Amino acid sequence: MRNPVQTRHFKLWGFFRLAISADHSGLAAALASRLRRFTSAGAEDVDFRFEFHRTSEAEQWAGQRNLGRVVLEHPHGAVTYRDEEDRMHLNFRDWVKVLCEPGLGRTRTMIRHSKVDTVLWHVSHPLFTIPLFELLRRSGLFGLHAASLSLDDRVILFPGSSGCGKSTLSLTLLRAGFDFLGDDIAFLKPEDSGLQILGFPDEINLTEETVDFFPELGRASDLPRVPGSSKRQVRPETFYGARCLPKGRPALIAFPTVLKKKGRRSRLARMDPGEALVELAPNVLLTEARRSQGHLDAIAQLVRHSDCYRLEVGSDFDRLPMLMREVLG
Amino acid sequence: MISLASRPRKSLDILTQEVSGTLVLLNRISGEYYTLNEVGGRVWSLCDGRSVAKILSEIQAEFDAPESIESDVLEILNELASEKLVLESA
Repeated sequence: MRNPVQTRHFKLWGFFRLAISADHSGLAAALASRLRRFTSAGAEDVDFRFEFHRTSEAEQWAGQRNLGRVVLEHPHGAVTYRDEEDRMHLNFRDWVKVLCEPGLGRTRTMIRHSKVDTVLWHVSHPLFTIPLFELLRRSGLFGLHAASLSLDDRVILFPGSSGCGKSTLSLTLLRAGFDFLGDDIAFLKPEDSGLQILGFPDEINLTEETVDFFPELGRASDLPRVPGSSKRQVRPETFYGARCLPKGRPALIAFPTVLKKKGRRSRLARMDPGEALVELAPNVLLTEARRSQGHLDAIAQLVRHSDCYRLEVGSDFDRLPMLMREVLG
Repeated sequence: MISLASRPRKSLDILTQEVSGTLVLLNRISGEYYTLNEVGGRVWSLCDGRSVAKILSEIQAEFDAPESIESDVLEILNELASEKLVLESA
């Protein structure tokens, strides 16, 4: 017997209609929490449809023989793409299998019944975000792995992968009154009038060690944690009354590195835009040719129209808002 | 092996962008990333099926380079070919 399926609707930035169906209430809740700023009434027509189903051990994944070339690898699996069929597959061990068909605007995810709690965070986060990147890319929005905050409608981007200090920077600037666009991902939208940054005001995922630096968050053990995640989830609007902005114009890109040695001071150093392009190029998922080139073009437009810096983050977090204000001028 | 008679062409699987003199090449199939400086980037841009001899004379004229640049240009082209960024045609 099938488990009951719950469908929720969302509208991204007021124009992309998204329907998410899941047969697991915890997974549906985790996704709804990520997309809470985009909640919408149900609609007949949707642009993108995500379906999540639990499956028994014995069920087979259809069409799994040739999944195409690897476009991204992670410790527990890979993302592959088949040019001939324009299909993207993702897996997490043999516990989760995802099929994304961008031409149909559809993503289907199958999760091994006995592993749902183990993989819930991965399914609701990277295994959802990567297909969303691909679907939105076909509509001219290009994803970037970066935190984005804003001061007087000028957006600062902090690109980087997990552990580079994005969340610490986000909290530090939110505490100082900066506006919030997103902690982990942003989207580039090239327009005739210039490039826009579209925010994705997700929850902020924090290690317990990071939580300890921000007493206003309370005890780490009291904060919620999605099953399968080692981090705690924080909604910035709850703790800082942050203004969540849907979009803004890029002004500054700062590539953060956390200095491990205690007592070191934070500092900014100018960076060549060509170097910034090289650093950001891995954001381009190398699937369909035209959109992959469009993605690289959008990143080039971003670095041409932003001031680029390297940011060494020391122990003096409280100086960071001042540093950012100075450099924004 | 690329020679003066070769007519290299850019591979269609390569994505490119240039910012402030740095050319970034992404091989969509292998997933490899490359960067080229100004001269390397110009050599790449001239790989449109014309002969290496013609590419060489363009580079010599544009960069006011000595004749010894021939070995540098051939080295760049052979590296581009070995990474399948350009395809050789006789």
